[in-house]
Amino acid sequence: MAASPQTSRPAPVTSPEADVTSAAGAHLVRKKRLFWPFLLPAIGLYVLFMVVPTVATVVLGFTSWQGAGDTPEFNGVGNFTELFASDAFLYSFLNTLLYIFVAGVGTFLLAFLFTMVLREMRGGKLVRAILFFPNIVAPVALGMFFSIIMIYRPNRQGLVNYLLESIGVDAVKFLAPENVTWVVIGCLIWASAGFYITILMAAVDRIPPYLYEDADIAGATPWQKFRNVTLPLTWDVIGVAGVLWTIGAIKIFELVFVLAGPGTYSPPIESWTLGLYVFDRSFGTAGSPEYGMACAAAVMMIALVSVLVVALRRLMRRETIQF
Amino acid sequence: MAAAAVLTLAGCGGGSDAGGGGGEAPLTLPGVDDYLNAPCPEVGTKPATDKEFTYWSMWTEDEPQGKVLSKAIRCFQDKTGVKVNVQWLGRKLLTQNVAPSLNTDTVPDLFDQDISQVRAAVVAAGGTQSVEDVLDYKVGEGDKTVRDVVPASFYDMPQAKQDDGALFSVPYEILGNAWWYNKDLFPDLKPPQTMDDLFALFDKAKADGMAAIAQDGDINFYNAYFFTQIAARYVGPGGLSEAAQDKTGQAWKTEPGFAKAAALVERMGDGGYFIDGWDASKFPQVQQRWADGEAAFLFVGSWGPSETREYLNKQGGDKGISYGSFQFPTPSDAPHKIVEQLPIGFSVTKKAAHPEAAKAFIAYVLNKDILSGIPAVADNLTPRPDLAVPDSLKDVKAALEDDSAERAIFMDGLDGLAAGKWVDNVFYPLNNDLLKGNISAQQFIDGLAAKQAEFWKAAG
Amino acid sequence: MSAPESAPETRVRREHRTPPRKPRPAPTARGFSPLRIVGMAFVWLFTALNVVILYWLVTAAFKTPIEIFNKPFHLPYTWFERGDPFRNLRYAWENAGFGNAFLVTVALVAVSSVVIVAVAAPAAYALTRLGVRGSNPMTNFFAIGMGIPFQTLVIPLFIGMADLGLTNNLFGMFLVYVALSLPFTVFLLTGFFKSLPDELEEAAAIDGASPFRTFFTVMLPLARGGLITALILNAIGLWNETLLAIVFLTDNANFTLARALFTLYGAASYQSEYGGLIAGVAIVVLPMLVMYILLARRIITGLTLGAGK
Repeated sequence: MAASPQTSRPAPVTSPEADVTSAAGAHLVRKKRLFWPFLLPAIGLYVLFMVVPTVATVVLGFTSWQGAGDTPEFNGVGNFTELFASDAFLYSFLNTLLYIFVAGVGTFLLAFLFTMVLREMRGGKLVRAILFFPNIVAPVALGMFFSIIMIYRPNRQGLVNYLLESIGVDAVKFLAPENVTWVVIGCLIWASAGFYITILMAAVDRIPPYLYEDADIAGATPWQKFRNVTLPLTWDVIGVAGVLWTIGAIKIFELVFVLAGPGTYSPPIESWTLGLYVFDRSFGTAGSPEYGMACAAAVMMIALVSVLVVALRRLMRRETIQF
Repeated sequence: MAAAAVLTLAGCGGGSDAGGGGGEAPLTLPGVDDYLNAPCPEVGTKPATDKEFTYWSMWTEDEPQGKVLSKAIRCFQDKTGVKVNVQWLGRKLLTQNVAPSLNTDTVPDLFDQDISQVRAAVVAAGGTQSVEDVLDYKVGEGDKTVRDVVPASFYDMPQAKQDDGALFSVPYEILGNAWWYNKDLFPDLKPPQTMDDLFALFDKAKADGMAAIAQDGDINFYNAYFFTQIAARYVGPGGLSEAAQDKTGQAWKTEPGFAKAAALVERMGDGGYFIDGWDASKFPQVQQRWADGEAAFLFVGSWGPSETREYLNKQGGDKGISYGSFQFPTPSDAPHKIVEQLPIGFSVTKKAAHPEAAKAFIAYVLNKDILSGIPAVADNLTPRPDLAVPDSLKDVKAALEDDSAERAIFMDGLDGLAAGKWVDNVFYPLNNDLLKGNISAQQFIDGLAAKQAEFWKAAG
Repeated sequence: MSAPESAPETRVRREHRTPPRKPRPAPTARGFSPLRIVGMAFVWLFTALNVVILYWLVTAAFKTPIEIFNKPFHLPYTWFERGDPFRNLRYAWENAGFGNAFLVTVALVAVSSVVIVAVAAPAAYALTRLGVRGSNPMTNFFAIGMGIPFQTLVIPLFIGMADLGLTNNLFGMFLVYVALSLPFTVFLLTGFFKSLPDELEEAAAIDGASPFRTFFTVMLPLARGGLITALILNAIGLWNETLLAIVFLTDNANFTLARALFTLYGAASYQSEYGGLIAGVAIVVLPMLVMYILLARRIITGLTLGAGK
């Protein structure tokens, strides 16, 4: 029964027992009648509050509009040509890619490293619970914390520089505009790792232990075990996690806003992200809001996330290892 | 050492409601309680029909200005029976709340911010109405009207007017800016008359083993003040804004004053005057280092004393700063003597349901006994010449009332140009590099010209 | 009823594998290679950092600014010596309006989270277990919603809501929160419902229970772990939500904690009110932390099943 309609999930992990015939008939028909009543409230709210506004955003992206009581005026692709000629937007776009890829690779490497160690470690559950902790803290609060501990202030250094100096290393200007992007990447990796460790560890927990036992008997190194056992058996989960990362990373802005700037005004454009760009043009600027431009940048965000997610799913599917 | 001071100070309140006291320069302002407990003055112009109005405030209720306006609201309600529906939204209210609301039918009647921001965020889209009529409202001191108590130089300027020429903002607080120093550390300091005098002061501070300039380098517009202040002295009020709107960008090169101003800023950047770490900190920590005596001078607005006093107060110390200040000198080859100001005022929305009550309230805030809270409680300046001025702001007040100087508004209003994009994309990056000594004055001017041409071309 | 709870975890993941065993570290793998020691050290260091941050946050909420910056590791003392240890918390609670915001947030987040799950669970069930053609594209249609950044929706949403008179209104905020949380919740719960065994549902059908009844009496209890996870994750997300609250709520009386914190953050830097600010952060973070400590296992297993299955 329940002839698994969900075959195009990243990879069908479950394989239903495929005895479609047993409970078929009238009951199945009655079940199907539930479909719309069950789905309608959710789909209605979703369409009304997300799909319609998104369509509106796309349309408004092609208008010139301050969004302060004036009327939107169609101006073709004017916003987009201006976006691509704007330094602020180009920085935003590149930084967003940087966060998605560099911080993404860092987060996943860290998560893998942890899965290798945690699998065989006492207290692993406790460690996992602690590592997840940053995910429950508002990013603004995390940004405030990091900006306090990373202060460069001779004689009264912030925590990190204090530690560096106490081991004889020169203090670093972490919050200088040329460094702050890397600091944000570090913070992102730290803050996100717990979430992905949690997801990957659960997948690792499902791997039958005898596979590792066999590998130990065969004298496999930790790397070989990871490469030949862990990685292939968690591939589907990694794919989903990768998608979740991408759609999360594309929205990043609070952490950057607080760490790279004074927290009340927009930081220098060198550190901007797409999320910050949209925020600045709509609610963050000290100049005029420009909702038309904000919507155009939002369209670029949606386009980027779509391209990346589709590409990622392609990539993960093609390389799925069967065994 | 500072921590030790805290330890010995058990019993001293600190916090928002009590102060240190005891030092040469007291940490709390003397007139706070007197002001807050004083009886309410009469209302000069009462609204005839409106029974309520809505005010969205740029302050929070707990801030000193919030306390002053809270009193004004309380008194206004008592005296007129008009209900004031106030929401304390903080500095970002224009883009986060006022502008979005203008797309709807639920708008505030009254809001406030500095005229540059109001102009950019609300006036540009036609969201305000004229407040010219408020000038003729009585403030509650006999027949005196707003026009009688507020000098025109604080509101009669193009930057405070709508496209139709009508006034959109009535000021109740005036920001100035200045070089600040602690008179206890520099008892004999004479305000510099030339740029060389100024650099001599910096050099002397360095020689004394302290940093010359404290600067919160993470705030782009604080970094911009140096160039805009000096350049305004070469090209006069409006000159910067005009150059910035030149579509070819060549204006920066054809007017030699800009290169001269840039050369002076380069000299500041290259001289090693800025305190170590100014470019890798977080506001307001560098101005706090100034307050702690790590640097000699601080260039910020007239809010400098109140912010640093709050800091010293919260630190639990017992000794304040004797604030002294001076203006940027006029370079010897520059033709304009400039004083910069930025009025913070009330505006009324175009769609306001109760404009009459809102306007009556504006006039009431300008009453002597209400407005005196701005200096007494909030330690800031007002547009009224007849109010007491806190000691810390006497120098700035004198500069603002100096008739020999031309008035310009902060940064010549560059920050609102092209919806704020011009400064972000063209000016701030180059200016930050200049101040950090990464580029030369010539590269700065060339860069401005090139980037600006690109910018206006892209903007169409 | 322990069977439904453990069912998702013990279910065989790949039917061509041997039967499941309880996941357990391989006991034989106890060699102490240098690599492992380095790895362990790293893991513990990383974990310690999180604990330090928590310690810092909690202690800083009781400190003066000078202690916060100069003595990050010390226990707070100044306010204790002055006999007013809760000064910062009181400041945030009373002067910065966190007291009212706390009540608003608790009510708003609790009601929203429950309603989100109540709306999403039947939808997820319908999409996974009713065998209706088109379920799959429909599931993807929902999942796309996760990829839409909130920033891109705010403006049209605000104007639309204003037309309905639902801005600056907690009911409007509630509607927005529910709707915008649906994609993730539906996605999470479809993972859950997919992982449930068919047998009990079939048994109920054979017993003659209506599908509607089966859903409530059999499937919902089976999916309890997932529902609780969804509830908690939504509660955490909404508790920290700032952007929408900033734009949609203008009355101080309607402010949520995140909104109040945002306003305080601006004002505190002008007034050097770091003690009150960090106390404010603590008021925002600690309730979530307590909930998390109580329910960490649930969140983690739930999250894994939702995302991983």
